[in-house]
Amino acid sequence: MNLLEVSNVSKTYGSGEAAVKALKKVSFSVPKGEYVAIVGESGSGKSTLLNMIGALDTPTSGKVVISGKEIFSMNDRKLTIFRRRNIGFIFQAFNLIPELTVEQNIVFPMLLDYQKPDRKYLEELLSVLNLKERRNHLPSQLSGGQQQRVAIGRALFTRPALILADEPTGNLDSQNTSEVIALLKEASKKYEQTIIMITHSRSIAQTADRILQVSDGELTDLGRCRE
Amino acid sequence: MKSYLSLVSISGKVRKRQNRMTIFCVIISVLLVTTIFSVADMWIRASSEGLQQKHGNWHIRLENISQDTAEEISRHPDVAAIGWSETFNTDGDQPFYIGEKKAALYGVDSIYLAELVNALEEGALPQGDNDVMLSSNARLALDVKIGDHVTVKTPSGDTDFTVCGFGSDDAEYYQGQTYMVAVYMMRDAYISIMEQNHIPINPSCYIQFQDVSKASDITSEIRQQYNLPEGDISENTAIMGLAGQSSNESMKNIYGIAAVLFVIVLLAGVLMISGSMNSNVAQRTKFFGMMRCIGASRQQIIRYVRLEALNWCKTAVPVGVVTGTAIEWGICAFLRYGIGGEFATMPVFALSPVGLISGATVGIVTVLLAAQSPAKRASKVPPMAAVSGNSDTVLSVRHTTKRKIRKVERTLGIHHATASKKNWFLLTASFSLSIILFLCISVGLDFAYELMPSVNRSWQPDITLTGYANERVLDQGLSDAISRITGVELVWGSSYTEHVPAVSSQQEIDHVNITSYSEYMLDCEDESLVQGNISEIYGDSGKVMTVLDKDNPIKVGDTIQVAGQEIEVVCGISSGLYPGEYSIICSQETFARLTGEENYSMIGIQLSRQATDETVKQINSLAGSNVIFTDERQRNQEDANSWLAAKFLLYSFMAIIAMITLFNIINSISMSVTARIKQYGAMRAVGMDGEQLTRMIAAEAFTYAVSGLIVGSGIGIVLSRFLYVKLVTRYFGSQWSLPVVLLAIIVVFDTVSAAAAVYAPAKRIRNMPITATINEL
Repeated sequence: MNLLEVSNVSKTYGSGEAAVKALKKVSFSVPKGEYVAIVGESGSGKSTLLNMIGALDTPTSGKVVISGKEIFSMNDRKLTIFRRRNIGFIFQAFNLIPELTVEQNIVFPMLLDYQKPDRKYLEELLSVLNLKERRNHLPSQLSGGQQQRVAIGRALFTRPALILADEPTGNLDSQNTSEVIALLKEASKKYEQTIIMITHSRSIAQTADRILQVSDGELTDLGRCRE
Repeated sequence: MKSYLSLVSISGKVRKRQNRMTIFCVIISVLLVTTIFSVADMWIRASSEGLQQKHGNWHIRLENISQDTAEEISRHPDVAAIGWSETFNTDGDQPFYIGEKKAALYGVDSIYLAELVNALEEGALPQGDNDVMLSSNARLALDVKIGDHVTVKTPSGDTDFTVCGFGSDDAEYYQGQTYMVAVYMMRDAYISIMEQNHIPINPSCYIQFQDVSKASDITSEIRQQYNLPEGDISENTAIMGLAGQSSNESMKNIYGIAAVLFVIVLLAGVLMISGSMNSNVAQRTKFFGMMRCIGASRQQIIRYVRLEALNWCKTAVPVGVVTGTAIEWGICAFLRYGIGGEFATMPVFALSPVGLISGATVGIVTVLLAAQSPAKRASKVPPMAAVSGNSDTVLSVRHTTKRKIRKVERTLGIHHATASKKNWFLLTASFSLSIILFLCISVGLDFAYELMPSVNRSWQPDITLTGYANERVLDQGLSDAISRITGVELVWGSSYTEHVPAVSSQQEIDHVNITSYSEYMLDCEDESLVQGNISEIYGDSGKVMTVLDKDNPIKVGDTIQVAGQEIEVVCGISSGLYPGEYSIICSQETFARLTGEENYSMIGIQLSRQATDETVKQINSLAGSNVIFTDERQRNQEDANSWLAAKFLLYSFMAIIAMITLFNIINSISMSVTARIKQYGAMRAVGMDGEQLTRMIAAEAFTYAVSGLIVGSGIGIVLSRFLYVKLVTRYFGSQWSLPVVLLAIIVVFDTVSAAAAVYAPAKRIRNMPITATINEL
């Protein structure tokens, strides 16, 4: 069963002569638990596509269905709750809350959903992310790699079906990049989560189950690359 | 951490520096409200005591009602006490005497004296029909003490009484004079004297309510229930006015103005805090975007921003309330010890529950109201802001600037000011409100000045001699004799005659009241001249002036026939020596020609610094017993004190408002710079120099200042004219004119504020390394 179905999604910015077609009738689907990498040049439309999937932006036409639900038919309130429970975000710039500790940053989305954080799962995540020793540290006291691991923890904590990562290793050195990618893969496997990741790096893309390429607003499926 | 809202307090601790400005804004708002309400409360407390002492503690007076009706009313659950009083000869125009002095007779019951007017100063209240209480001036005027026997002489015979005490229900009326003594006796004794003299009896019933805050409603209820005509009910305006229950038109006007000023102050607070919070939110666009990304709903963001605002109140409200109370103590101490007079009883170190509660409540309400707009703004931050890294200021730019880019830094500065319409509106509104307040308060000062004529009259006397019922019994010889007494600086005379039949060019005028002014008085009146040329009045000119108030139908330009002679009204003044209704004022020579009278009704005496008690005694002895001698010095001093206090309070208020505006613009520019610090860093990196940067920030600040000036002056001038016409022109005739000097001061203040706002942020950003500004987020 497909977790994500993107059908004929187009996005045009501006109108008339100034119109820019960022996405042109893009369609693809992703089954549950798959780890997908999206590659493409700068300005090719890959971030726009990720924003559409994450319901951060609305398409000019087409539809996006996640777990059988068409996300753009929901009102803002429902969409927020849906996003909160079903989609986890990982940003290139980490975007952690500087005032909160590692542990507090990870459980924060759960608090937004008025749920009591699952302590056992938190311990497990901290262990997987290798952050146990750093649980009471503030983001400013962490390295870039550690901060991104916290961001991954935050994205995983609500057990979302879909994790969207926009160049999660863009700000990291090669060692941290390897660690983060390994973590994402492990999570995808262990928790059966679908991961869609934007990357510029061909080598990182090679670690994914499947690679999609966006070029000039059009999507090409480069197929499976993992054994 | 139990809830996402716990982030508010955690963040509050970490973001102390960023929140400092907003907290300071809240503190200023709270302290302003606390101070205003506390001082008002203290003033009302002091005034209530003073007014109760002066005007009694009753609330309404009913005329022409029967004893039975009064008894029924007394059974009303909200009525605390009912007393009776009737007066006779309070003008001293009837031949009723006590000793050699004129007697004003009062027939009263014990409830009236003991509970409704707190009359007793010494001794005891009258218990039997042979007891009388005399006004305190009787000690000097009659040389009597408690236990002495006195005789009330009436045209139909004499009655002996024993003095049981001293006091009166209108101390001010009898204070400082010795020509008339108030005689308070029980009603039966009074009725007996009136019957002997065949004078009809018509007592007034005085009512005190349990709760003055319900006085207005109960009065209406009583009026309807007993079908009492409007004219038969009068209120104790001072007491009812202080409780906000007065139906008096002037009091209602004052309530309205107080309400408008309060709303303006509240608005100023809301705008200031809102502006500050908006900038605070604008700096954290990415944070709110990230919150939305990880699942916060719009409502949760609104709740977050509101709670954050309330969290600031935890610090700001106590600090504001304490500082406000300290300022209140300072003001009260100044009023009590520096000004004295009617403020001499003002409590200094008292806590005002009204001030404290309203300071805290209004502070929280203001903050919640102020948080409304930033909260909504934060909730509208798209989740995209987190992933794209673009701030809301960038996203909100939908079109390029249309201005010609000659001086790019200025164009950019203006663009920064106008890009966010809401922010521009808030800052323009904040500036405008201050300007509007400046202009309105200056009208308040004009009104206060006109309310106290003794303050603005150069001819204001220290002592007056007046004929009974304004009879013209004072001659030039007496005036000359007084002027020769050591310690007398100046003496002037004035004559007055009323209800002189007249035919006017205006149909509704059938009589006039004529007052004469001496040359010295006419010289001085130039100060209160509102319309026309006063120089035409002097000598036997046949030209007169009038008092321009709402009750006087006579206008400048009218011609009036008096005693077969035509006179022309050539000028108007704002207030006169006698009531303004049907009043014309002329020179002594014109008065003599119109009336054939040369004597004065009043002689006014101004004392020099050398004046002693002996001077006053000599004047008193010259005055004789058939003349009303009044020492006005204490009253003049009280008026001067009140004027000083009014000026002090209004100027303080203006200073606080000015401070708020100044702080607001400094704060807003500083926050705006902080919000764009990365952008400025980039500009510096590509070659913008320090001066250009300063010019860019200045252009932003001056855009707010100029738009605020235009809107504020526009609305302020219209409002100032409206208030002036309502308060000053209506009651004192003075015409409104464009407050040019005040506007010039406002322009200077506006410019200085904007310049001051630029200095610190420009310096801060110039001194910051470029890399720091680029990397700061």
